[in-house]
Order: sequence, then structure tokens, then C-alpha cells
Amino acid sequence: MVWMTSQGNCENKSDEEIVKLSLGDSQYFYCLMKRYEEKLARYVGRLTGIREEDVDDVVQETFIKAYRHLNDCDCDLRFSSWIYRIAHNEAVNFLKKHHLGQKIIIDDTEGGIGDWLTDGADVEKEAVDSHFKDYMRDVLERIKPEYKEVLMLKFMEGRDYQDISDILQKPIGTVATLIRRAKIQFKYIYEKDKKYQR
Amino acid sequence: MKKTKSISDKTLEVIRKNKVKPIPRWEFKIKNWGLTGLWLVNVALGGAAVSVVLFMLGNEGRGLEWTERGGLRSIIENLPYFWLITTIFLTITAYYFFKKTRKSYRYETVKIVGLELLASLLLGILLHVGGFDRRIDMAFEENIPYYRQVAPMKWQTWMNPEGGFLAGIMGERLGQDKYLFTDFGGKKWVLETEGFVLRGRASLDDGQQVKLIGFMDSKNIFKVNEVRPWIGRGGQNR
Repeated sequence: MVWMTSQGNCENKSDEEIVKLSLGDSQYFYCLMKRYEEKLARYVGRLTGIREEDVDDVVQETFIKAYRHLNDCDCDLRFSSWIYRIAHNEAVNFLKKHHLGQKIIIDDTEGGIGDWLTDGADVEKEAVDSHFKDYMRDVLERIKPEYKEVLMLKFMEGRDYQDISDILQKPIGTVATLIRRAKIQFKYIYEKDKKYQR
Repeated sequence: MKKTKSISDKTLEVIRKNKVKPIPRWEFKIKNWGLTGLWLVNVALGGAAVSVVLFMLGNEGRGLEWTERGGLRSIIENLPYFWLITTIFLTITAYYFFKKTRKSYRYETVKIVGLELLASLLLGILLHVGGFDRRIDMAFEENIPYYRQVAPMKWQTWMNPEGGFLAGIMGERLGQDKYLFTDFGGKKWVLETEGFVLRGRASLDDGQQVKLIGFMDSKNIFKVNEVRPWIGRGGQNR
């Protein structure tokens, strides 16, 4: 397959370089798709909680939209932020179109999120208890979706503030505020639960 | 079940089958330039609106200023609401267009609106100082029907002899403390000026345009307490 040949040619190239090449030779776009299909599928799945087939549809739409808008690619941003933004918008549109509620999945409390959330909270011996991780997952389920989304991008997708700002199209200060509030809300729920347990 | 084709392969097929092509760059450029242009136009129009607000508040201002009879109520009643609303409307439309530009999301609403208002204010001051404010107002008066009804001028406020306000042109002196006077409506008056106060650069010389505060003594006699120059500090006149 011709496209596969070009994939071999672009392994050492940056996303932005491949975008430029894709505009001259559309075969290069296949490289970008290959590079991002898994990442985007995981992201869309976490962002929406929809079925795998639907995730595939959303990612496909994302790629088609990205290809059509390649000339509008904001190359001042990282390509990854740009395509994540499209994926985010497509995912939200999918939920709206199918009248589905957003169910953000934060499935990894092993990542930095656990330490970060419990930092400063009065977490004693529970921290070492495996049940605590399940409990933490439960608390994360209860915090506001807009907070969960930034937490997911920061901890699950490993995005920095600037990337999150570019993906969600919010000012960087707002991103920082959302992250801070997420922690405050987590602590609030945690402390409240602890009070009732006593 | 293992997938037979990856998303990339399926997407590739769709792209080929439907002959999907990237939208030409110029279309995006036109859109981006258009939005930026519309934003700038709205900010500039906001500046023009601010200049007319200044025009009406200042030199050619329509308010009764801080007179004992005017006071805060009079100021509130006489604010140039049409142009103030226009300024707010243009700021909102400018914000709308700016929000549609590429990197607008990086800026907070307060900063965007604040900067737009500041830009309009600075431009408005420049137009005001340059004397374009009056021309804008005149252009509207000449070309927009009913404009003067929604944005009345100072002279309309000052043409209220029953309320103690009068504006017009000084005439010849008739005797001790008596002058002829023609208001901006063309009516002739006799002014009685005993114990009056002259404000600013006002004078009672023949041909001077002035505004008067006092009270109507009879049908064509106006007792003057205070005389102010019609022309403001900026030297603009209607």
C-alpha cells in the first residue's frame, strides 16, 4: 500500500513537519492517523464513556475533519493539542447528537492523581489501604465534570496547562483555577465522608 | 473480537471514496481576516460612538452640568443614552467577533471587553480632540431620520425658559442691565441682567452665543442670574 510506504518515511519527522508534507502529498496524513488513533480513541473513551464502536466513529470523524481543515492547522500550537481539540469537539457533538450525558472516566488512580489529590488532605493510614483507591475513584466520580475533564487531561493524558488551555479553548488561568477547585472539591467530599463515618 | 481494520485504515477508505480534500487555505484566511476586520471595525465604531458621547457631554454637551437647578437628576436625565447604548452594543458585537478569532480563548472575557472599551475610549478621545465628533453627529442628523429625537442636542435642553434655561445670541444693549436676545428658536427676548454672574469666557457682547440661567419674568422678558459661554472649552460649536 502506497500509504504504508510514506508511513515509513515519516517516522523520524515531527507532527508539524508531517502536516506540511500532508498538504503537498496527502499520503502523509496516514502517518498522523496511525500516530494518533490509539491516543485519541483512549481520550474520547475517557471523555465520554461511550461504546468502543462509537469511539471509533468519533475518532474517524476527528481525522476527517482534521484532514479537511489541515490548511487551518494552527501550527503555533502543537499539532497534538490541535487534533485533541477537534476530538474533544467531535466527542461533545456526538453526545449532544445522541442525547447522551457525559461520563468522564478517570480509571487510573495509580498515576500522579492520587498523590496530588491527597496532598495536604488529612489522609492517614488509609493511603496505604487498597480500598482507599477504590474510594478515591468513587470521590472522583462525584466531582464536577468540568473539573474531571481537566484532571483527566492533566493526569491521564499527561498534558500541561498550555495544552489543556489549547484543547479546551479556555484561558490558561481558568485551567489553573479548575484544577485548583477540583482539589478543593475532592478534599471537601473526602472530609465530609470522613465526618459521617465517625 | 479483534478489529479487522484500524480506524486509520477505515478513515483512509472514507477519504478516498468520498474524495475528501483539504479546504483551500485562502478560505480560512478570508474567514480569519474577515473576523479580525469586523472586530476592528466594531472597535473603531465604538470609538466613534464614544467621541459623540464626549461631544454631547462636553463642549457641546447637552446636560445642564452641575447647576443648582440641574444637579445629579438633571445629569442622569440628560445623558446621551442613544450613544451610550450604541457604545455598549458595539462593544458586545466586537467581543462576539473577537471570540470567533483563532486564539481568542486565551484571553479572559474581562480583559477582552476591558481592552475593547479602552481602545474605543482612546479612539473616541482622539476623534473628540480632532473635532470629528461633531461631524459624526452632524452626519447622523443629516442622514438618519428621527436621529435628533433619539439623540437630542444641548440647545434643546437649554431651550426651556419656563424651567429657567435659555440659549441663543446676544443682541444690542438697550440700556442699564437690559439687552436684546434671540434664542436658538428665533424668538426675541429682553434680558434683565441685574446682579448676574458671568461664567468662563462668556460675555454680553453683541453676537455672542451664550446660555442663560435665570427665570422667565413675562412672555418675552428673561431675568438672568448666570451667563455661560455656549462654546465650551474645546471651542466646538453647533
